[in-house]
Amino acid sequence: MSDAEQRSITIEDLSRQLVTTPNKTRRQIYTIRSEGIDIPVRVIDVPGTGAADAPLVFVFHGGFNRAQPYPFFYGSRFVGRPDTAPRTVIALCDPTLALSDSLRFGWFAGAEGVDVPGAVRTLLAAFVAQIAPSRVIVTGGSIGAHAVLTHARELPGSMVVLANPLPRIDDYHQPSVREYFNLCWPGHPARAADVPQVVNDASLAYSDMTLHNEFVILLNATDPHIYRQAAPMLANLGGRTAEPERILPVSYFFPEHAGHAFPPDELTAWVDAAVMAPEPTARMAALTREKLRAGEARPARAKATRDDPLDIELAAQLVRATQEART
Amino acid sequence: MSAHPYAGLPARAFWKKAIAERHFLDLEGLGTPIRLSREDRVATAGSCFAQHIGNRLQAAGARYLDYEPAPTGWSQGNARKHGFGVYSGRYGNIYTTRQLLQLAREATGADVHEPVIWERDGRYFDALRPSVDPAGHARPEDVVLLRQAHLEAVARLLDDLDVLVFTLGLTETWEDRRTGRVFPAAPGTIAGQYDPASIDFVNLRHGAIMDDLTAFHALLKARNPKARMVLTVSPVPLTATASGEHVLAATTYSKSVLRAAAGDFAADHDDVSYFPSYEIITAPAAAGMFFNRDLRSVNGAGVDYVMKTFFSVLEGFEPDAAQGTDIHDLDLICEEGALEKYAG
Repeated sequence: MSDAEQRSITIEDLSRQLVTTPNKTRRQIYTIRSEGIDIPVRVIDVPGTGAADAPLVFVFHGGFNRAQPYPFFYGSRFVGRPDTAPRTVIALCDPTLALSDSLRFGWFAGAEGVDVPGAVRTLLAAFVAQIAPSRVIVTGGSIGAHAVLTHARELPGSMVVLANPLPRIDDYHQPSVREYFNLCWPGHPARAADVPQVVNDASLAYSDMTLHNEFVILLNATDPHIYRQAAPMLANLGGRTAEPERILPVSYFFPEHAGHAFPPDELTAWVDAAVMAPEPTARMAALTREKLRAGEARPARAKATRDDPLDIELAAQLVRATQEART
Repeated sequence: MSAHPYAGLPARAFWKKAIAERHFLDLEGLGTPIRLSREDRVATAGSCFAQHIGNRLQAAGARYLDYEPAPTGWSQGNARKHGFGVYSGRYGNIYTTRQLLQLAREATGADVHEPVIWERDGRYFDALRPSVDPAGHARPEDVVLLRQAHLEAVARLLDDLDVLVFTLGLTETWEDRRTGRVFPAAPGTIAGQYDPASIDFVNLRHGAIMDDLTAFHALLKARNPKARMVLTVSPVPLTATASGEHVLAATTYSKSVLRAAAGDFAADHDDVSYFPSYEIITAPAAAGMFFNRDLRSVNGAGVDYVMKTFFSVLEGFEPDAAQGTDIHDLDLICEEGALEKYAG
């Protein structure tokens, strides 16, 4: 029996404990039954007493190496610090992954007869109802973005913070997609587009302008998925350019994090900014200011104007070593 | 319906099936099989991009040759800065086929030349590998001593290797008018003096590159009949061109000629293979995502994908998971990058 199973709790009890005994819940893992499905959650952070209405952050993870034991959580860096602001941070683990020890990607999309999206929807709504936070932020990177987008639209006014989002199942790495459908939807074609219960493109719904969310989308410009994932997602969100203050794509080049990986501190800084930005207007500008405040200036590399004394010494060492070797 | 030569061809033969309808990171069947066993002694040489191949082969457990190791006690960073551990010999970047042939002929005694020594601020550099000593040496005779030791190491390397992976980088080079020797960097860029009366700009054409490869291959096989070669073309565009063309057009010319020559040479020789690293990085389906923001240097994701594909075509070699040194942290050493400072 895992630790998560040992701490089964109802959403009502956990919400009460978050308020009454916050220090006992911080960093703890619980299993909450929702719609008949056990969903592991980890309380990453919780505000001190008297700040129960602080912003609430939901975190969805991406793919995980199954060498790690289930359950998995992302977002341990999203804790409040003295220079940021209090918040409740709840990380969710995809219960789809409990169906097989080899499954690395589940998109929080469930399986035949296992309605994970419905269970997560009920759970998030219950948390929001019980905690009554001043603001809701939903965040995740990679394939976690699929769940973020699936559920943020059910939380009116929530803020979405994404990193290298992969909202389209069928446009992901094909062997992983096939593995998921073969294991979880046997008898169906191995494509989300052919399984009515699975949403292929979680960003598509946001072409509906009545959905009132705000977006910060962090893109590493060297992410190899950008053209099949983030680009069509931005097209779906494109109607929101009429309200440009509600969508902020941030494209960076990070040579040290080339590809799909993303510097975790960058995402953390934007989550901090989403927690801290003042209400109610010009939030994106405020976010940018907060992010810049949270970020660190990178030192410029000094240009050498003369030979490095160390290089001169090493050259002399090399000559001596060569002379010795040849005598 | 009548039969035609495209009927029954595999999916890899059709752009729509092989590229347009696939995620670019799921490409299959790219590259032809390359024979490499764990017992094969592998050496690398070439332009900057070849450094990645050597680093990754070493990390993957290949029997990688390093015939000029750094002196004992040097840190990896200092060693690489001084040209150690970058390739199998301390020759620096070998951008052109002419440079490769020239080195092999000098190392094996087929050509005998006085060393060419460049000076900068009272320090002395080996003009045929000026990047390996970033601060040069105190005396010209130090350069001569190190060059002699270097040539002996290269000769042993040519005798012992089983597989040479050579990455063709440039067609443009600078040739000494008197001796015909070519340099990896123009005089005056890293050290030395540019004298238009004694140095010529040369842009090697397809025929010249084929001649260089043919001569090198013959020399190598004469000393080491079991040797095989793997040719690749660097996807890294030119930092600068002296051809008079726009640097984009000059890059396309240079890479096209190199790609054609490498493919033709491999097709003509059973013991020479071509691996399409150039195509992987520059393909339209990659949409430039494998380049850093300078749109020139290749990012880690690109190197990862090239090497993943490279290992997938090897027959008889299963790579280890990379361990120890973080190969992403190794800086590349490029003389050609020195031209950046003249861009203004």
